[in-house]
Amino acid sequence: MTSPEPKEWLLDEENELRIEIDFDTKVKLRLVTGTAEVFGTELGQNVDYEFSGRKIAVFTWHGCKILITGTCSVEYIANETPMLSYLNTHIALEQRRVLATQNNKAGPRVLIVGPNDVGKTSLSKMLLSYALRQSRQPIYVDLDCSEGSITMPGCLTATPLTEMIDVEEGFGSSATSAPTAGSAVMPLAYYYGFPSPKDNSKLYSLLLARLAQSVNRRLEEDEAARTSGIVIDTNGLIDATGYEIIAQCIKAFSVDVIIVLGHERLYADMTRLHKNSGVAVIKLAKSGGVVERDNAFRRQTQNQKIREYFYGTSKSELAPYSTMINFHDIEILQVGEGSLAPSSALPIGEDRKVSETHVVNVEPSENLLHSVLAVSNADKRIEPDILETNLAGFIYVSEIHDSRKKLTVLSPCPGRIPKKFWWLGSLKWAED
Amino acid sequence: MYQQQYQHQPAQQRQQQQHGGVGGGGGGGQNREPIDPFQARQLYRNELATLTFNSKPIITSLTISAGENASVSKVIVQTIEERLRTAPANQKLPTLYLIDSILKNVGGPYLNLFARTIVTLFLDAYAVVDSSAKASFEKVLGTWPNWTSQLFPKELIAKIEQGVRSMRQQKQGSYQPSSSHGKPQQSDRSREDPYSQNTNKMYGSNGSQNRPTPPPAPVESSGDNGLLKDIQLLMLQKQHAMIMNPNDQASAKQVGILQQLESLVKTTQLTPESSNIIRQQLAQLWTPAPAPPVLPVFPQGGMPTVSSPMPPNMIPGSMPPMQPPQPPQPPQPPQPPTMPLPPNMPFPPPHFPPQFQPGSIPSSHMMGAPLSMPIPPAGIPMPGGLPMPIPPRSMPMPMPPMPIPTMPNAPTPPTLPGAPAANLFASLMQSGLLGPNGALANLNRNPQSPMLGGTPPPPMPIPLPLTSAPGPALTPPTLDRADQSEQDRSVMSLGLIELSSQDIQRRRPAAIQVMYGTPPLQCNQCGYRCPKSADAQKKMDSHLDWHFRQNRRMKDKAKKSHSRSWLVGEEDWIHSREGDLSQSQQPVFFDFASGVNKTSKDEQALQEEIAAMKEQIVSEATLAQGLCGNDREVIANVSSLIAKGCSICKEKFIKVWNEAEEEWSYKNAVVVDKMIYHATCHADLVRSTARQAAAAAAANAAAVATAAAESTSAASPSLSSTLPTGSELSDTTSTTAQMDIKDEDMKEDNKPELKMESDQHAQSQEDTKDHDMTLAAAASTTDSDLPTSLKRKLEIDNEEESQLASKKSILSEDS
Repeated sequence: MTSPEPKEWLLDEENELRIEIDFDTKVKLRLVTGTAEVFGTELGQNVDYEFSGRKIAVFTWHGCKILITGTCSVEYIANETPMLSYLNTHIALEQRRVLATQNNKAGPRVLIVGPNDVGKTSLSKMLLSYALRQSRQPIYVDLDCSEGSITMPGCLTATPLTEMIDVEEGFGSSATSAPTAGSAVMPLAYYYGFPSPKDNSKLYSLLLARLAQSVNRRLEEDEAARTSGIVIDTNGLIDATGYEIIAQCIKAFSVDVIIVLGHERLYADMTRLHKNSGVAVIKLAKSGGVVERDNAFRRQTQNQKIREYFYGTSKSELAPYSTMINFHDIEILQVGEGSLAPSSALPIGEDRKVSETHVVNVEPSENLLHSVLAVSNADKRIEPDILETNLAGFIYVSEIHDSRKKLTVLSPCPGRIPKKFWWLGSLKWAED
Repeated sequence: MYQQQYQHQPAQQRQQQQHGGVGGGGGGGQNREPIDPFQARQLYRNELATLTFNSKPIITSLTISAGENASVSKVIVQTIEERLRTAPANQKLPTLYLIDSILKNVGGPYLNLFARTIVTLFLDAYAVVDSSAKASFEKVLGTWPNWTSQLFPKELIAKIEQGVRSMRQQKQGSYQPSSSHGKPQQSDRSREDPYSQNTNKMYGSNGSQNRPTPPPAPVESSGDNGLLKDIQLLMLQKQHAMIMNPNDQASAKQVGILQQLESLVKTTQLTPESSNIIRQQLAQLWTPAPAPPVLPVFPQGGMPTVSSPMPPNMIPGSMPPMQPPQPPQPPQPPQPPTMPLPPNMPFPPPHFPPQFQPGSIPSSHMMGAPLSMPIPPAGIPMPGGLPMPIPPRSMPMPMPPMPIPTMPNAPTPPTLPGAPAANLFASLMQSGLLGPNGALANLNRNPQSPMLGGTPPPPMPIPLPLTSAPGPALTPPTLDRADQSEQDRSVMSLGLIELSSQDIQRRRPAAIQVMYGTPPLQCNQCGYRCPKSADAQKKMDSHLDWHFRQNRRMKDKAKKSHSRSWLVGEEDWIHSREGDLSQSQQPVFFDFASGVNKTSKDEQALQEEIAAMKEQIVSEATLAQGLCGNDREVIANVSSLIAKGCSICKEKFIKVWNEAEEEWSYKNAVVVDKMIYHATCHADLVRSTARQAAAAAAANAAAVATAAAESTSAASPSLSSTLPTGSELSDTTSTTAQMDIKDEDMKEDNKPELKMESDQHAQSQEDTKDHDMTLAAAASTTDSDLPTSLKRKLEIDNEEESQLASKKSILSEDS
């Protein structure tokens, strides 16, 4: 699969090597001379980094030489990048952090908005990486329920970051880690369970509010995080619902910097809406390296993410545990009634909102097979609190023994599964 | 002749460059002086002098001017080359832009002319500019190969690129001025290569010569000649300052003084000592270029730093070995050849402050023509006059008291009797030229001041020692706080960036520096840079520790497995701090029982652990760390030791989460003499040893006793005396049993504790023995039953102990 001959790339200053690696290939990357960074995290010289199923941009400020071993589906050097403006943005934010530290105020709370596939998550990563490189401890808030950079798709999460973001793993899979891993990131995750905020906007806004509340409470106590600020990554929704969510975000997280990525109209709207509110609105260009991810790629990324959650990466393998559970020991819950009917299909005058946050029980059945269920931290089923209870993790249903009223699940770690309420979303995974 | 000049010129240039200097291009221009229209040179040079910052209008104007004066293109090229070499490092970039502009817009004769020197010219300048300027240099270079017309032959550009690359590699992680080692590709003539290879040897053989100290320039024919150049070059700099800052009275004054000085030097025969003193004075006047790697443009030509008896032009290695010794540079035509200084004059080393370490030779032809100025009458030597008498007042700019004790003192003039130059200043003052507030006088009082009585023009960098001096342009208003870290300062020094879409787009080379520049500590395993701070080393150490643990984890991957843990509850998330965790490098363990039932927590935790243990046959390798300090090999041993379990019963240890200490602990474990035991097992061992001893003693005693057949009256007190012994024994064991080994963080500091523990054990063993001895002694007075009763008592203790143990095992079985 991998070609033995390493390929040498010479990058001039402020150039970017963009590579795309298929899911079934492994590519090793090594920085030989110069400096280089991947999404803001600096690469070490003569260290091998291994990637699979990723689209990566290796950027250099000073020029560098890179060796690539393996076959990339796409590889080219680009010399036009918006990195300069990204860096300036970071410096501006960093200056605010310095001032915040001096005056004992809150650091910048940054909201990154823009349509799909403009590199919002990459920009978040970069800004967070840069902040981490300067010994800050920002909190990363991920509101993109379709992707789930930190845990799993379908979640709204907040993650305090203290260690450098891993080049190979991104911050995605290091979310929770093996007991002995040094860089344990500890996300706070709420389960939404749908790919788009539109699917259940009431639940989404409920969870958003709850997440913001928790983050704000933590910021009150955590001085390092408070002065470092937060970076909020959003999903790509920029229609009316999107605007509502953005507005809610700004209020809930006291956002004071809005970065509009690659969308002029949105920028104009944001500027207009926040003219004299003390909220800075800036627009940044989307990087040419950002590619549109088709559904197949997203799906594959999702699968990879689920896999990594249980099994880790090739570099840091994890051992999940398979356990047999009695049907009657657990309760599988779902929000709404299976799949929600579009509101237009509802009888006139019917308020759909009721069903949007209605919790229903799901009888374990064959349907659950290959589902990824979210384990709630809730101990008692009290509605609506249980909706807003954060997650303990995920399990995967690998087998259903209908006759014996048991199911076999894959649990991330040994021991009994701590909680009995499991959420069923739309996430399925066919384990290879 | 021209060609000949060029043959050796690059060598000189390189030589100069090796010392981090940015000096002029040697004597190349001197001989051409007669051909060159003086006027053109002068004009162009003056105009060029204004190019101290990246100004498009100036560059354009200079380009046009170059195009119009193509007939004197040689002169113009020389002037530009000089400028690029002599300009302070932060002003080199605009000059390069000018070259670029002329090449692309004018072309013609300039292409060939620049092609002769461009490789060294470019690389030498590249070597000394800061990294952001380097970037721009590379950018310019990047445009050359693909220009619509061919600017330079490909091989020339390739050479430059190669040189740039090698320098970049070298520069990595180092701020040392780049040395000649990094630039094997400077030469564009193959015949010069031996030279570049030779340079290192040359310095090696030269013994005392370190990189910053340049060899004397071969071009220089006499010390005064060099001194004159110093003066002229300095004058030029001050003139720049005046241009840049018309209000700069200090510079204006200095220029006046320098002009006088120049004429004096020209007309007076100076002794070596005196010229040396003048040089030192001049050094103070020099406005240095920014900190390393750029050494300031000190006119090195006039500073023979070698006390070698050799004529300057014969310094070994100062020339390509392949070339015949350079004929001494003919004196500058306009200069009166009145400096018959012996060439082998042993000058004392100049004790310039570091930033004045002579870097390079100013181009001699640059100063070839006297600047049009009134030449004052020759100085009148004042008998015994010292340049000190002027009161230390009236600096044009408030200067802080000059402490700067770290700098080597410049040799002070008084020791030079009758040196005409020593009297020079005095004579200048005497003649009223200096005036009562003469800057030079102040200079003499504060010889270390690198910034003689004047604010340097804004584009001139302010030298480090002056940070306390008001440097309005450089100090960010209100932001400079003592509590700010260096990092914060560097961020703030960029000037507040407005969060607006326009300001965000502006190029700020220093911004990259913030991310890459300041922190000196970089992890070689991942590229992590430790921000510069007081505890940087500590941070880096803990970072490396983390790597170590990670790496060992990877190694252990085969035999041990790891899992993702469950996420914490909301409240825990809000109140916990990863920082604490990551600092102590502790594993994250989430105790789910804690939220449910606080009272039975310990038991639950134990149960959960046991449950986990039953399924998870592994224990973290890291837990063993520190048991034997940081010795990695021993750690590995210890972890395997722990994994083996108790040395007595061979059962594995029960691991628990110590809630109070927030760390992993092994239940019921103890380390004695580097062996790990269950505390209960070890206690058993201790007791059995004691028992054996007691039994043996008792056996003896019994034998004695039967033989003696003493009375039984003493029996009961002696029996009662054994009772505390027994209870003491069980006390000891129970406390041992309670003692958990904190193995996660058991580093050096815990070791003594452990040792103490084992000492205690030894002690208790001793105690027991003692007791038994007394017991035996006592027994000797009792009947033979007593030892048996004692034995029974010990057995009861044992039973209690085993009951305790069985209780525990029941507990674990329950779970």
